[in-house]
Amino acid sequence: MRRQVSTTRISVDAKKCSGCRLCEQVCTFFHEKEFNPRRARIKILINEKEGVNAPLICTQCKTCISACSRSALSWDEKLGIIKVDDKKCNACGLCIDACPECAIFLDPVSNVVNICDLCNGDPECVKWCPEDVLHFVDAGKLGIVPESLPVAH
Amino acid sequence: MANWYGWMGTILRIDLSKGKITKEPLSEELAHNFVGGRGINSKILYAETGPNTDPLGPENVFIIGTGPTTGTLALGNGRFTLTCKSPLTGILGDGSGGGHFGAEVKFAGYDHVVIKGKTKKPVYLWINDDEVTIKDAKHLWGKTTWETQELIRKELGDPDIKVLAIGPAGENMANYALAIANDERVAAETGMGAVMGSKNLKAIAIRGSKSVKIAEPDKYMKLVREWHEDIEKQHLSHTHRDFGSAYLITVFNQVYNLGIKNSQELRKPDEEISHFLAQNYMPKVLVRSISCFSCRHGCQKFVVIPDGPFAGEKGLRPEYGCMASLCTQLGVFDFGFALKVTNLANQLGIDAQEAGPTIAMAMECYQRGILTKKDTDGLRLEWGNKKVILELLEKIAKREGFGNILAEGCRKAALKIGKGAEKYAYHIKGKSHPDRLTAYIPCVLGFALASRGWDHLRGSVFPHITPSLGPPKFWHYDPIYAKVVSDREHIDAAADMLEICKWLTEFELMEEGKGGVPRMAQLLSAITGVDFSEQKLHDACERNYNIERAYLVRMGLTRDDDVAPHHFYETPIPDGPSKGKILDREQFEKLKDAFYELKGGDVKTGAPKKETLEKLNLGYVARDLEKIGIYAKV
Repeated sequence: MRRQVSTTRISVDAKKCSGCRLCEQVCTFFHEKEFNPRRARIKILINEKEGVNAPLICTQCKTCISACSRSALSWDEKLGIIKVDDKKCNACGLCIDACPECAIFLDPVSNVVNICDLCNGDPECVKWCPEDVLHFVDAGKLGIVPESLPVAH
Repeated sequence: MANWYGWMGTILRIDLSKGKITKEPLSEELAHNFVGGRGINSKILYAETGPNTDPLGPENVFIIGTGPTTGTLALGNGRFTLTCKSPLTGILGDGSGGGHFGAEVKFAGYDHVVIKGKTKKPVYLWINDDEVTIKDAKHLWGKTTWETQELIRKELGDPDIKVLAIGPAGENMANYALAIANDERVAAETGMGAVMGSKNLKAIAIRGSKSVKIAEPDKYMKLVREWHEDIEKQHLSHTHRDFGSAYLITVFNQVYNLGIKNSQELRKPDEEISHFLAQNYMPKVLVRSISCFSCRHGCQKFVVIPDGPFAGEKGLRPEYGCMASLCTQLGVFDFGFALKVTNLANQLGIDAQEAGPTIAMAMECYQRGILTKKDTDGLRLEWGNKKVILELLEKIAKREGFGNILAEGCRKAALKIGKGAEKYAYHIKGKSHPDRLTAYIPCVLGFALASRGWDHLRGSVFPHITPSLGPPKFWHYDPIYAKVVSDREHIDAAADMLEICKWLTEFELMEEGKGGVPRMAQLLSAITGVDFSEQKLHDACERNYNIERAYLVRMGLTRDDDVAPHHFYETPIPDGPSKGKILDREQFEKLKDAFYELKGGDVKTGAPKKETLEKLNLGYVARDLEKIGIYAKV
C-alpha cells in the first residue's frame, strides 16, 4: 500500500526559524480564542545554546490514522486534513507515539489530541511567521514524493 | 474577581526556611493600582523589606514578576522582572529579562512568585503547574548556568522546561551576580543572582499548561495588528533588528561618545576598529535571528566567529552594554573576544555592565600606580589584556584573591582599594554603567533620577526619540527637559508594569501621537477587560514612581543622591566637538527642581509630598514617611 498525497501542506524552512513561537500563539488563538502554547497544533523545539529551532508540524502523512485503535482519526478528503473525533479520542497517546513528525499534541484543557487542521485552508501560522519559515504549498511542488514512502503499520 | 483576563489571578509564595508553599489570590486592588511586573514587584518590595533588611539575609524577598501582557501576542511580551533589595546598591534592586521564562510563569498559573527565607542546603524549585517542589541541588552547586539548565532539563526529562539559574558568581554572592533564563536571557542588573545564592536557591525550573485569557479578543487582535504594522514602518526598528543595540558602538564612536579605557578616551578612527563595528562583522558571523517569546522583532542574532583566536565561539550576539563594558572601556576592540567574554559572564552569572566598569576602574588604578602586581595576585591589569579580563571574571565569580575585592562592585571595590581609587569609580547610587557624559542633557537627567541607580531605561531620553522637540539641542538645559524626562519615565514604567520590551515602546515614540501610554492603556483594557483609561494608567505610573521613591527615602536617600557620576562634573571632555565641556551642576539642579515639582515631590528633599501620596491612594506610604520624620519640618 502507498500513501495518498494531500494536495496542500505547510512546508518548513527550519534554518530561518527564530524560535519566536508566534505560530504557537496564533494557532491557539485561532482555535481557542486564548493563549496557551500547549493547546497549539504546531510546536517549536528550541535549543538556545546551539541557536537551533525546529518547527514540528503535521504533514498530513496519515500514519496516525492507522495507529488509532478507536477510529477517532479520519481523513477529510475535501479539506485535506486529519480530523479528530473528540468523543472517540481517549487520550491514549498511540497516535502521538506513531507520528513521525512529533506533531500531535495532547490538549491539557480538553484532554483530546490536537492535530493541524490548516485553519480551514488559510493557516494562521503561515500568515504570521515573521521569518518566512512557514509556507502553505502544493505538496507536489515541494520536491518531496510522499507516494514513495510506505505507510507504517 | 473570579474570572481573570490577562492576569492569572495567583501569587505563588515560597518560604524556603519553613519549606512552606502557599498560593495567594491576586487582589483586585493590587492589580488595578500597580498593574503587574515591576509595578507589583516594587509594591511587594516596599511592603516586605526596609532599611533594616539585609540584602543577603533570609529576610530579603526574591520576586519574579510578569505583566498582564506576558504570554500573549503583544509585541515584546516576553519580559519578566526580578526584584529584591539589592546587595550591590543597598536600595531598590531589579533586573529585567526576556526570552521564554516569563511566559512560562504565566502558563504555570502565576502572575508573581515571591520567595523568602533560606534553605540549609542547596536546592532548586520545580514548578509544574500547581505542583511546586523544593528539590535537592547539591549536584548542581558549582556548575555554570549553562550546565545547570541542561542538567535540570535532563533530570526532569523534558527539553522544553524553562529554567532560571545562577552560576558560581551567584553562589558566592558576588554583589552583581545575575540570574539567567534559558542560557542567554539575563536579568542582569543590581545583583539578583547574589540574592538567589544567599538563599541557597540554585535555580527555578518551570513548566505550565494553563491559558492566558483575553477579555476582548477581536479588539485586542486589531490593536496588535496595528501595532505590528506601525513598528514595521520605523526605520530604526529595522536597524535594531539587523544589528541590535551593538550599532550604538558605531554611532557613539562617530559622535565622540564611546567610553574607552574607563572613559579616558572617546573615539577611535573607524578604520582602526572597523572589525568591531556591527555593519562590518554582522554579515560574516550571522547564522540566524533569534526571538524572545511571541515577538516578531527577532532582534537577537545567533552568531559564530569564523576565524581568529576565538574561532568557533558561538552564541547570541552581545549587546552594546556588554561590548562597551567588557571591551571598549577595557581597551579591547575585538568582536570575537566580545562574544567570548559575554558567554563567560553569562556562564559564571555575572552582570557585564557592572563587571566592566569595575575592572576598568581597577585598570586605571593600575595605569596610575595605585595598584601594582602585588595587589592583583600577579596579574598585569593593562588595557586590552584579554587574558587578564577573562581571568578576572573567573576570580570575581569565585570571590578569589583580588577578585574578592572586585566582586563588591565598582563603588565598594574602589573604597576597599583606597589610595584615591574612588576618583576613578563612576557610579550613580552605587550602580555603574559604561556610558559617558553625553551632550544631550535629558539623557543625563534620566541617569541621575532612575530608581535603581545609573540606568538608561528609566526616564533617560535620547535625541533620536524626541522628534517633537525638533532637532536636538546639545548642552542645553531647557526647562522642558524636566517634562520630557518625566513623561519618558512614565512610558518606561508603563512598559515595565505591562512587561513589554523597551525597544518596542521606544520605537513607538518615533511616531507622534501613536505611541506610549495611550496605546498601552488601550491594549491593557482589551486584554484585561478592566477599563484602563489613559489617566488610570498614568496614575499607576505615578504610583510606581512614588512608591519606589518612598522606598529610597526610607533608606535615607535624598535629592543629593540623584546626581550624575562625579567625573561628569569634574573631567572636561577631552576631544571632539564638545571638547572642554562639563556638566553644569547649577543648571542641572534646576532641571531636577522642575522634575520633582512635576512628580509632586518636595523640591528640597526629592521626597514625595504627603498630598501627592494621598491623592494616589498611597496614604499608608505617607504615614510611613511621617513616622520617620520626613514631614516634620513642613
